[in-house]
Amino acid sequence: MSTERGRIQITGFNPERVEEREQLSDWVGDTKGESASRYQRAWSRFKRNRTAMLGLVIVSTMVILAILARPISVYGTTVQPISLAPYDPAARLSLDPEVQAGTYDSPSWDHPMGTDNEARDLFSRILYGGRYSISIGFVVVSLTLTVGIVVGSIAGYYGGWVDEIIMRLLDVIFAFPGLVLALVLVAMLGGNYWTMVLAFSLFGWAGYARLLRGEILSVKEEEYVMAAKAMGARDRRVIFRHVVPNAIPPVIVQATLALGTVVIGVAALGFLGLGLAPGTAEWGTMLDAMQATLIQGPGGTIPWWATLYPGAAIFLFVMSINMIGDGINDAFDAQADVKVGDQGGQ
Amino acid sequence: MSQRTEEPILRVEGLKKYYRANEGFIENLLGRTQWVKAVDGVDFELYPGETLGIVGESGCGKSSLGRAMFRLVEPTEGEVYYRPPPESEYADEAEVELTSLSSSRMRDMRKDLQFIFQDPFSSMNPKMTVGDIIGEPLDIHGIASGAERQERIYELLEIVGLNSSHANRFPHEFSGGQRQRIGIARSLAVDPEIIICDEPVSALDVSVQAQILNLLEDLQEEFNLSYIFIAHDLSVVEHISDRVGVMYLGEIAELGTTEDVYNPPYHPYSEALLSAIPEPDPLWEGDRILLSGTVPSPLDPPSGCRFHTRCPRVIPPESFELSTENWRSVLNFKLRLQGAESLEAVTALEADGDEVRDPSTMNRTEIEALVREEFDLPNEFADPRVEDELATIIDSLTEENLEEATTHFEDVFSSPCETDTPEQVPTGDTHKIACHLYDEAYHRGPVGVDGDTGAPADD
Repeated sequence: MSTERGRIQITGFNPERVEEREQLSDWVGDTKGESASRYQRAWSRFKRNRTAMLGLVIVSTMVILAILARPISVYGTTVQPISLAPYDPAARLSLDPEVQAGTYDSPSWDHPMGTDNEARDLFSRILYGGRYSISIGFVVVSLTLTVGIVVGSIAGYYGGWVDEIIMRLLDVIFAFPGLVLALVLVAMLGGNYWTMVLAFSLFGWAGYARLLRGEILSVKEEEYVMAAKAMGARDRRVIFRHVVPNAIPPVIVQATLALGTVVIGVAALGFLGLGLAPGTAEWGTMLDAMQATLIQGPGGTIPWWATLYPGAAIFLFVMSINMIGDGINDAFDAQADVKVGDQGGQ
Repeated sequence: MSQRTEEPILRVEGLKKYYRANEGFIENLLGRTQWVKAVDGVDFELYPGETLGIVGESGCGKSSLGRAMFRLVEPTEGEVYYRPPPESEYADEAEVELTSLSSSRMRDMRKDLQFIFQDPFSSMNPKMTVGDIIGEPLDIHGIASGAERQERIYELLEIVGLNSSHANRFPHEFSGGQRQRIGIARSLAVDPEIIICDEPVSALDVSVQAQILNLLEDLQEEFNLSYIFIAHDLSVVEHISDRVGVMYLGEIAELGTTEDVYNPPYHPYSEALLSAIPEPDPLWEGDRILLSGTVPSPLDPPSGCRFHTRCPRVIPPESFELSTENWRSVLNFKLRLQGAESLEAVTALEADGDEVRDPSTMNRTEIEALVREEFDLPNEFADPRVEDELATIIDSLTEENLEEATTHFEDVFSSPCETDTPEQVPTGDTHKIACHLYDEAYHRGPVGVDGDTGAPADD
């Protein structure tokens, strides 16, 4: 018995033998070469997500079809000569002696989606209509995202009074439902392409700003932010290399999903008769023009194709966008696909 | 080890870091700000090529000390002098005072002063590859780019025992030990002179701890680094440190070479800490020193010696004949009384659950018995004067006059440990202890270099 410490000594342990012993497996690290960027990695994860890829394929197809639907000319020069749509989307085919078409013709080989109340070819209109909905969506999202990121970063990173004022402003914006605000603006300014963009952009950035600000508040407390400061990094580098990249993924997901929301919003205004001019080949406006057919069609039959195809186009686009949004969300969450066995042992 | 003749590479003087405890507009307006005194006046020196261990229990301010030193948090007060060694890029500057540097100068200076973080899981940006993490300091200070940068990253990975093929992976693909190696590689990238290791092995399991510690030692030899090694594990600190500082509640209680600190004479706090090191020997009979009470709040640290509320070797008042053990009991009684709002709070805290009685219904004898039992006071003190004073206090208690009891206690029983802040007393060439026990002025005695307790010096 003793009160003296250290009487138990470990001897005979030879660390060199452990280091020199035969390897348990012939496993060696296999990644080599330049560092793959995290966006490349996210993309490879995204590619493995079949739902998201399906969504991406649908959305790209719709975008390409919309672009190729009719020739595009800028200042008299044709930049896009292809015309996929068989007829002019605005032409009343009943007035055209070469075409056999009347109002509310049911789908046939000549008119795959039938014709509408003014004997226009629905297939051509739907192909062409994507131009309005989708482009308004993209323009609105890029505008609001830019403003939202700038405002949100300022509020989140600098905090204090700046943050307080911006957040109270956002509270005011959030007090109104987004669609109602857009509706009021369009009703006041009249419905055309750019007032629609303005209506959805003017307050649409608020969501991104608040989301990013919250993310930044939590990310800027992370230890790697302090580690970056300890290395001697400037504020700018800390924000753009460490804080924003870690705070941005939810914002990107939100932006993707917002694309769908804006398309629905544009369609909703169109359906309410407040959007683009009546007769425009925009999906929501088309639905509005034909809403009467939902109740009773001429001769007691309901021309289902008149509302089904524009509605289906909206549905397909928004659903695909949501699938992409979910896919992006999963792809950015780098840790999600790490299985326990993947961890290197040490 | 004899007194160092060379100049210290880093000198910390009176460093303080207070955190605001309440953040609120109204409180600030009313001036009711409370400060958490995380680091409260710390002085020490770091010599080139050595490892200075800083130990202490959690919440004693050791991490705050490390961060305040290199201005990862701005220190409240005090100076940190850095003397760049000849191999440093700043060698032509004699001495740099870090706390007064402009932030851009400080950023440049970080090339020499690096940090290893405790948690290898949160101290790396999860969105960056290991190559970019290690390469970042190279980018920041413009040291290398392109192929040279890639080369340097591979080299650093090899230095810390990883493979250059790891450069393209993400931190979450590594184990804790490997990540800590990455953290070390990152701090080595700029070829620093001083590295603060803030509990670099606490998050790792024991077998990996040894690997990392050995790696740190090898690197120190290879690159002539100076470490400040913050940890709570005494065995780890003993293994790696040349000198050790023991921290308690934001102050350094004891500072000396590892041998000095791990052998008598001890600061009573270090002694208690050391006794808590687990011993594998089943036949070991050493006593663990169990400290009474909990660590006091750094919001309102105790007066005098901060350890007096828990110290097992607290100095008894001179006017009484009291053994240290009995004085500890009496002092516990006194401290409890100071914070108590009712008689019940004084006596009932540790009473048996089923027998808790309202003390106000008890008579004096019962209260006295309860107090003696609660605070482990002997049935009769050897010194009759102690008995007399205690009787007066218990009389006041019976009348439920807590205030009077507290004041009387204050007037009669008072130890230098409660009133005087201890200075750092040298107990050898390389050893300083902040304790009145070792201060000649208190005549209680040094407890001798051989570790004897109690033998009073000439009075």
